[in-house]
Amino acid sequence: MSFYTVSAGALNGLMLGGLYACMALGLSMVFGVMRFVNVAHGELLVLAAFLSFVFSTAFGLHPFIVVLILIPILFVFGYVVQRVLINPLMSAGLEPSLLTAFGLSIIAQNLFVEIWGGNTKSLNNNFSEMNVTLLGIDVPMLYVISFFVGIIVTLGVHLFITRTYTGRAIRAATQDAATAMVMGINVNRIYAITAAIGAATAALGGTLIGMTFSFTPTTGFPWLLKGFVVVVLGGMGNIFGTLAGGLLLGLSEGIGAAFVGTGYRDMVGFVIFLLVLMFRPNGLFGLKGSE
Amino acid sequence: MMDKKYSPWAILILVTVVLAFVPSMGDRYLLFIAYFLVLNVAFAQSWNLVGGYTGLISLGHAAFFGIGAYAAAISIITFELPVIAGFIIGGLASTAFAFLISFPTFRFKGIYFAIGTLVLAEALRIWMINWEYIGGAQGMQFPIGIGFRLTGYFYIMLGLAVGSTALLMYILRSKLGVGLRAIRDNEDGAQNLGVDIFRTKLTALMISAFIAGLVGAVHAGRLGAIEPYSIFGAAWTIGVVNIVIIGGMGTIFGPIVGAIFVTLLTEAMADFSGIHLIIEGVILILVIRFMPYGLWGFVLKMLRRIPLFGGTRA
Amino acid sequence: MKRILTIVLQIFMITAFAGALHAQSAPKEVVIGASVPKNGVLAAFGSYAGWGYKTAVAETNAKGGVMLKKYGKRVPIKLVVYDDESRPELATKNIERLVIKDGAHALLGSATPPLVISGAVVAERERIPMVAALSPIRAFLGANKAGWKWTWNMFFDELEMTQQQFLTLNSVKSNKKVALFTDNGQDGVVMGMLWGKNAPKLGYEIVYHAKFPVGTSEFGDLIRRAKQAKAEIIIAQMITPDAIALWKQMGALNYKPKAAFFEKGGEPVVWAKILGKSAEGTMVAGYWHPDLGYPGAKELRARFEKDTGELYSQHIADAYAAAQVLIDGMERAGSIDPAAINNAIGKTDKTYVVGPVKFTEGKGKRSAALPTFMLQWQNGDLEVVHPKKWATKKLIYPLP
Repeated sequence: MSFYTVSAGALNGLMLGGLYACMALGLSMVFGVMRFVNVAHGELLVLAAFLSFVFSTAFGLHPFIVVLILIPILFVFGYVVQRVLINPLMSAGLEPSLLTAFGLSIIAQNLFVEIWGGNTKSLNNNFSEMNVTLLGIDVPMLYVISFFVGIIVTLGVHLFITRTYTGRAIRAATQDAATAMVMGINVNRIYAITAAIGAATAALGGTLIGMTFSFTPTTGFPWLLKGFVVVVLGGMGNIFGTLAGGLLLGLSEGIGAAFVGTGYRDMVGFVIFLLVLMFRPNGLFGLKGSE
Repeated sequence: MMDKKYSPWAILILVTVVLAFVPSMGDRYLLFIAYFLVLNVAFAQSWNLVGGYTGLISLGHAAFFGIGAYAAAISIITFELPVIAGFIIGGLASTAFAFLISFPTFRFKGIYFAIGTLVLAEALRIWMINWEYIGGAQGMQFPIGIGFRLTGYFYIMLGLAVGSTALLMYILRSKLGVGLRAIRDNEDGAQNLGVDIFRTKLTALMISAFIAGLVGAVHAGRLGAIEPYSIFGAAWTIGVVNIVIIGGMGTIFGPIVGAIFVTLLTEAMADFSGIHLIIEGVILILVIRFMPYGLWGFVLKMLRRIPLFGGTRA
Repeated sequence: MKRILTIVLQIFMITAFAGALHAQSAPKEVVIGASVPKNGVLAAFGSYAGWGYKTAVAETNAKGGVMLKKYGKRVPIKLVVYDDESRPELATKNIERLVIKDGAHALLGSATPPLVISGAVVAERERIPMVAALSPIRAFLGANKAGWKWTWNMFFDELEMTQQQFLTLNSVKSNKKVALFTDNGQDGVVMGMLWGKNAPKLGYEIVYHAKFPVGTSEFGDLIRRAKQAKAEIIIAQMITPDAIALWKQMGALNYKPKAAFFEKGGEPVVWAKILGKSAEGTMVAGYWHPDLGYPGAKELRARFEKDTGELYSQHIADAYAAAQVLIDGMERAGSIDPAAINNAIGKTDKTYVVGPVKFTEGKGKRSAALPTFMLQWQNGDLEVVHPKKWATKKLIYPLP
């Protein structure tokens, strides 16, 4: 192993980390705000990829144009699912909502198969085989794009949460739902908006996944797991933590693959997950107690 | 939950006796279905103990199943141990794994257990795929002719299903059972009552893993060829969660009802593999929302309205 | 007491329900069972295999069925196919169900070694003959040390197939440095080893061998190592989704080998569909091409493309021929006795759409190797480029 393979792995991984952050942001938000473990988040990403596939094939549009249509669609979808299926269960503890999401994930996976078949798909785009040379290292163009998308989305969500009335209401509901309700905040609506924003970020995440890699109806599961690693690393519900978690996971995978081999690449993330869970349960950057 | 006028032991014995006669009916397809039914019951009771009675939602039960399968395969194929010894080693290996993962997953209440088991099961699967000593992705094949006939496997699995159900019934009446439910209903409260939370959870998880490991081991023997992608696949976890919740989590007979429902639905829709999972998913969501104790809980509630079955109309 | 009665009644109803699922096969038909992956990572192969089986059976049925001398008449064939979702344990369960519930008199295999072997284990246990296609011979034989007794396999031999890449390149100039990319499935392990052995014999050097699990999606590290080793030739054995990811990432990491072989992964039409122009010039070893002049070959391609609107795959021919071998075996046996059919299949010696099929003799061999050659993607279609006697187009080299 040479210095080159390690440093190239590190840089490539760091760039890809932006994709990780972007796809995990929704997962982190719904957990942070309402303690909802959305195990169907992976299917949300794959749904975005499939819809993008449908629109870009039908209208001959670039996936980056299509994503502008997808964001509102997934926003509404997230809002409705949260309102109709998840909100009524919020008072019953953590498990019912988790298990409902589990059911949704099973339904979604099999619906994808029924609608789009089991074959591999990929979002065709002119970037997928382009590359950029950074510091003398080849990096796929899409990894670089992912890096910036990850940062921009994180900043955008952060601005929304801190600078808007709704954002402040979300924060109030996060800290104390009961008090927020007394203050006249419609907590159900706030929860639905949170889920909607989470789903909208998944539209971007899913598009990036579909462009950079390929996808099938069952691709959601491995991405969900990666999402959990990112979220646990960054601290559940911590928006900048999610970005940091994503970049860190990308970085450690990239370096890890150079040392332990590509076969164990995914293991690297899981080992970090385990260590963080054991020693830093609030995430590496977690401040306030997450139970 | 359980109505006093029902004697659960009587039901269990009756069901056992009826199932024990299945092989002698001479219909091999019935035996084929019955085998998957008892497999599902045994595996579901394993999940029910942690998910239903202790409030630990395990989303990685495939790992316990898979470890049992592989430990048995290694014992029987590589070390040429007797088949039954291999099965027991399968159960024990799975128990040991449960012990190991309890440290990271029990430190925090509730939800981390679900996420932790989900991730750990996948980590384990990747490990097994890469581990060439046990065949890597190629898996392992039992020499043809080793093991039991299909009837033999059915009786072993029936034994596991009945044994695990009886074990759960016994545990529920013991001090352990009281502790489990106390933790499920209110962990802080349980602590104040003097329940040793960690030890109680650990005991439940280890028993659950032992059953799941045995089920995996026996099924591996019957399959004859195993490989990590499907033995450790999330499909096993999905199946068991569906069965217990649809049947009724935290009830003794719920998993049996759920297993009957899911096994028959799976068979009836064998031609449309995706559709039956969609149906199960929809039913799962409806049950969570409207029948917290599943189909079995719903049946009991209805029965109580009929005077013959004891309840007042209230 | 009444309560107990109610419960007994419930159980009987359940048993009755289960019984109702049991469809008795009519004595006036022959049942052939098959398990194929309609979903999951091998779905593409399953669709070809399923079509091949269905078409061969439909043709026989159009003639009135399979001629069984014992009854002195033609008996229609009922083909029962279940989906194994690319999951080996479901392949096992499906074959069991086919034998036990559907009363299959004979079986057809799934696709790729893990699925075929999982089903074959049941065929052996139940003593029902099975003809398998789409599973390379050495991986198949290696899985049962004691030797298969009821399962017959017709596909290419990896030893021969793993020479084709080098032989193809002998006609052009390269630095003869090869990077191997093999996954850890049966095919990957067996062929990876064979390429390692064959390369030096044919004057090539394996400068890097990447091994990774099935389902890998990020290949950056492996690609950088292959590039550093200065390999001009890459040979890969992996499933389609992984192969697509690898080839795209090679482009994105600015690694442009002069020749690229994607065994298994580069074969289904999805490969060319998803990659578009970048698939041009990539190669995959083949064992069937419609223009090789075997009887019915051109027509088979045309029929598939008319039926499905998709580009053909060589696998339609192998599956179609496998079903014909099985049906011919039944006719020669003249009955539906499994042992008689099994014996008759062993005596197969006839030219099918895939060329001459004859199973090797000896304990546990039970395989028929189809001759291999090299195919190259040119303008969205597969052309034979090696050997010269079969070539339909000239080799494109180096890659555009």
